[in-house]
Amino acid sequence: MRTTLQKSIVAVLTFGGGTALLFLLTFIHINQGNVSIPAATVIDAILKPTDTLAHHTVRILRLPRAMMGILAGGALAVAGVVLQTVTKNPLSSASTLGIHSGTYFAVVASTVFFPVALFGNGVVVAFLGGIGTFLIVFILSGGNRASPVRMVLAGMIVTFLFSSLTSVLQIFYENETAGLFLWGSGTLIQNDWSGVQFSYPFVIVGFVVILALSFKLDTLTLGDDVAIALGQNVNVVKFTSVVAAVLLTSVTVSVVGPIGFVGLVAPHIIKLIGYRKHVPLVIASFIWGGNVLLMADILARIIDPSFSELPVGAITALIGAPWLIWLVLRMKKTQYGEENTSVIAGKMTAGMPLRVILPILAGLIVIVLFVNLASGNYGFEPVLMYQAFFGDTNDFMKNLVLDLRLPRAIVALTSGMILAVSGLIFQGVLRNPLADPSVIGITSGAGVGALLTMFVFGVSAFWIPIGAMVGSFVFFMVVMLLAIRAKFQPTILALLGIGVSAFGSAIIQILVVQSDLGVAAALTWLSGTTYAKGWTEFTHYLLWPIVIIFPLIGLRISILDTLSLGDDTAKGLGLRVMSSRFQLAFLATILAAFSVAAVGAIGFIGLIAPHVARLIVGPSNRRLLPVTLLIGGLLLLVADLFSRTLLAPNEIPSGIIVAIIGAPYFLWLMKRRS
Amino acid sequence: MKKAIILACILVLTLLAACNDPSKEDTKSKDENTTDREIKIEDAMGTQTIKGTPKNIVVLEWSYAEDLLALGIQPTGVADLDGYNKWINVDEKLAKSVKDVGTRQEPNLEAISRLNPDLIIAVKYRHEDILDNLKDIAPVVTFAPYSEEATKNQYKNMKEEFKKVATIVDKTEEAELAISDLEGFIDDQAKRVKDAGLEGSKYIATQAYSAQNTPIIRMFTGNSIVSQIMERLSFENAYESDKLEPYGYSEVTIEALQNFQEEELQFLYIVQEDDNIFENQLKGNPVWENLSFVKNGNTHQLPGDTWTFGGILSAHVLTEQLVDAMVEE
Repeated sequence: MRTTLQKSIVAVLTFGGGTALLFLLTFIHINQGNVSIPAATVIDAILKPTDTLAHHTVRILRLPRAMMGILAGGALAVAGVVLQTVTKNPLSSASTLGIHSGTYFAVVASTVFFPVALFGNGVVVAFLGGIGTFLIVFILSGGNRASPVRMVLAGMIVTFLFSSLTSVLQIFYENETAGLFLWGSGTLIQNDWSGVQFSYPFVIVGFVVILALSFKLDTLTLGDDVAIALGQNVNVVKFTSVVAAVLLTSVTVSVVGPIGFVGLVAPHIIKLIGYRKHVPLVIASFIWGGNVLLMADILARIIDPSFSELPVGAITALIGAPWLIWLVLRMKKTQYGEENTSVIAGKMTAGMPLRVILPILAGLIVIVLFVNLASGNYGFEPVLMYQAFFGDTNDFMKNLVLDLRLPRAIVALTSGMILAVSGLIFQGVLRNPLADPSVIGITSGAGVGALLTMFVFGVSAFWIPIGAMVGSFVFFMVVMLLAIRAKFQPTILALLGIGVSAFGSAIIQILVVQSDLGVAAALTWLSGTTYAKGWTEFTHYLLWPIVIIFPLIGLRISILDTLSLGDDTAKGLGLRVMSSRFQLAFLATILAAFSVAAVGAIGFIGLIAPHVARLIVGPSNRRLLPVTLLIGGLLLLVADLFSRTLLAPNEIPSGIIVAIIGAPYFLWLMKRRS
Repeated sequence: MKKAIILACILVLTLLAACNDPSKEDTKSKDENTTDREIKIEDAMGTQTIKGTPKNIVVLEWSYAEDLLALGIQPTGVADLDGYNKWINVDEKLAKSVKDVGTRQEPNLEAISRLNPDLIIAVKYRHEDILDNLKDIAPVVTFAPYSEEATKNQYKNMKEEFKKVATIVDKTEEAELAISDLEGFIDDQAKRVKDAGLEGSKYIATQAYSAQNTPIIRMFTGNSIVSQIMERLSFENAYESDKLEPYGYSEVTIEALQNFQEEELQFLYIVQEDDNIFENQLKGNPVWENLSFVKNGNTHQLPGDTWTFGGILSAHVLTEQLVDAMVEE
């Protein structure tokens, strides 16, 4: 009796209270704006509309914005519920699976290249981008058998790839994409009812389809085998519901931009209340998704009451990221599944002996270095370069090579080495083949540090690298402190890194939009570049890690091999697992921080170099270290060459070249492992 | 094995580092300028000494290319040449021989270096962290057009920068002439305003574009060149921003326009022909149609190629465009 009563009270609060809150927030929301309108007039505008400007403002600018907030929040939350059920992953949502970045990239790309395709707010383009991204992430992370962590990591890497591709477009088409930046961080601004009119049919269709599938989704939570045994066509259910979820996501993206974390936060609130069945879960998630987004938009305008808009997407990320961290921390270890994170098995490796591979790699580096020095704005000119050095006639060319090309190539080579080693250690420490400095949140911290120095303190550019280093250490320490309770458990560490990264990205977004100074400058820096780097960067930031940290790591590298046997075995062998993890991760952070200070946030090298090395020489870290080092250097050297020459005299940030070279390889690798 | 490799790496790197040093001394004697002229210029980074009269100049920001053209000098290289030709709409054209030296944000050092310039004009907010590289190529003068001091009055700053450029290239008289020419022109145009009976009108000036159908409106603040020229034409900017906007505008949404509802307020706007938000997104929308200046027909469209962030020549064109828009409608 009492439990029934309790249940009904909870139900009344969840549904009735939620709806009431929705009305209250809507009212607060429509009282906010760039022009002050008294509350009485606002009420009049709704009840007794007349042809006055204030009334029109409420009815045509503010109400649609609030409605759009409810629709978008609700749609994202429902999409989140479906994605969480289908992927059996409590951490799934449109943002964590990379769907947002895919849809965003699709829209930005067609803005630049095929504006014709953008009819109907570009919803078709957004939908195709979204569904494509989901399929990539889902299939490549192992489909149904993928563990939550693996899938979220895959989502993060896909996000990383699409964001760098988007940055390329934004850097090269600064004018065409200028306005897209605010939208790119998610904004609810509406200028009439057309956005709402456009999106509500889609949202209703998606919502109804998902509601109709609710009971089947309930069965699905019991496991695929049970569902099949009960006569359900699992694949059809999964496919239909995911299509509906992606539809909901792409409609919201095409109207209000990618707004992250609503799809993660809202369903979890409802699940915490105790609803597990999908009918109430979907309905309540819709209501509370609307509430979350409206609240975020209200908050955004309280924080920044000036005329310029703070993107609501950044606010949801700012609220949502700590939420993700909290979710990760309160989850029990068993819920992750003991992810088998042992790196690629020996049978896949060529098992090449070091004495063969090292000279080959060194030779390759020398060749690429030569090509790099001989190539410039006019292509490959080996003869000119030869003359410059040995003909003793062409001083100009000699200076060009020695002052510009050589130092830059050396910076690329060495920072590539440093990044690769940092990635190798993170992968070993976290026992996770998908880990690298960007996964653990260090890169994001560096970005925050750099932008804060650039915009808030407004100090000279000299301090930016220092800011980046401080930022990366702060973020590293935060992740480590949070991970203490979880005993630096690899999966938790990786998830915390993702949460902290998201938090960092939100701050970066806010800073970039707020300062509206040099968006292109900030983006270039964030995507990592070897542009105009020279001896200064080399001697300040790159030489010391090589001279001091590399030998230290060389001495301790065998610990990674012990760690790879698993915690229990390692303890059995007398290793102090926690402290060695911390020490190694600390060394890797120093490396990452220095490389960030020198060349900005270049991703993927730390991810790819160790993998290629493993394919060549097998899993022993002692053997991996020198090979990884050379491959990392080689990779960035090649990227540097392309970044200078491909579109000369224009530069492509080398970090983006790395992402473009590295991502296909990486996706292939993931496919092979699944 | 491993230690040997690390050692080898360090060795190679030190060698490479070592062989760099002597080369730097060679570069010093690159330009033997025989004239005795030597001037000191205060720029954003301090005092710069410039020997001789620079003739071979690379500019990394568009407005200084204009300044040089106004002084009858063709720059050797300009950053983002395509962008310059697209946005800068002045009578004096860049010669065909002018070379593109990459983007304004990341100019191509090699391309600059190949032009072997005797002066590079850079701006602090874009090029601060590559100044050392630029100085290795040629003497650099750095302007800081959006620094707090300079942006307080962008028109005044534009003139001062122009004079500095003129001093460097030894054309101060030409500069005085060009400035008095511009101011005389503005005075002439002010007469047209007076004749049209618009003297003292209040206005707001905007540049608008859409982002995924959402209108974004840049509203020019008092420190902008637009506003400064309008003031000289005897117009009064109705928009006052609380904070000093570095670029001379605040980005607002359509709702913010309601704060400017005085009778006879004039509304100036720049839109691109293919992105005319007032004709497309806002046509028939009561929150736009009911604004006082829309109802009273006081909206004035400026051509899409109006360039509000330019130098001395653009200011000329801008003045005429502003008056044309206000008077002829």
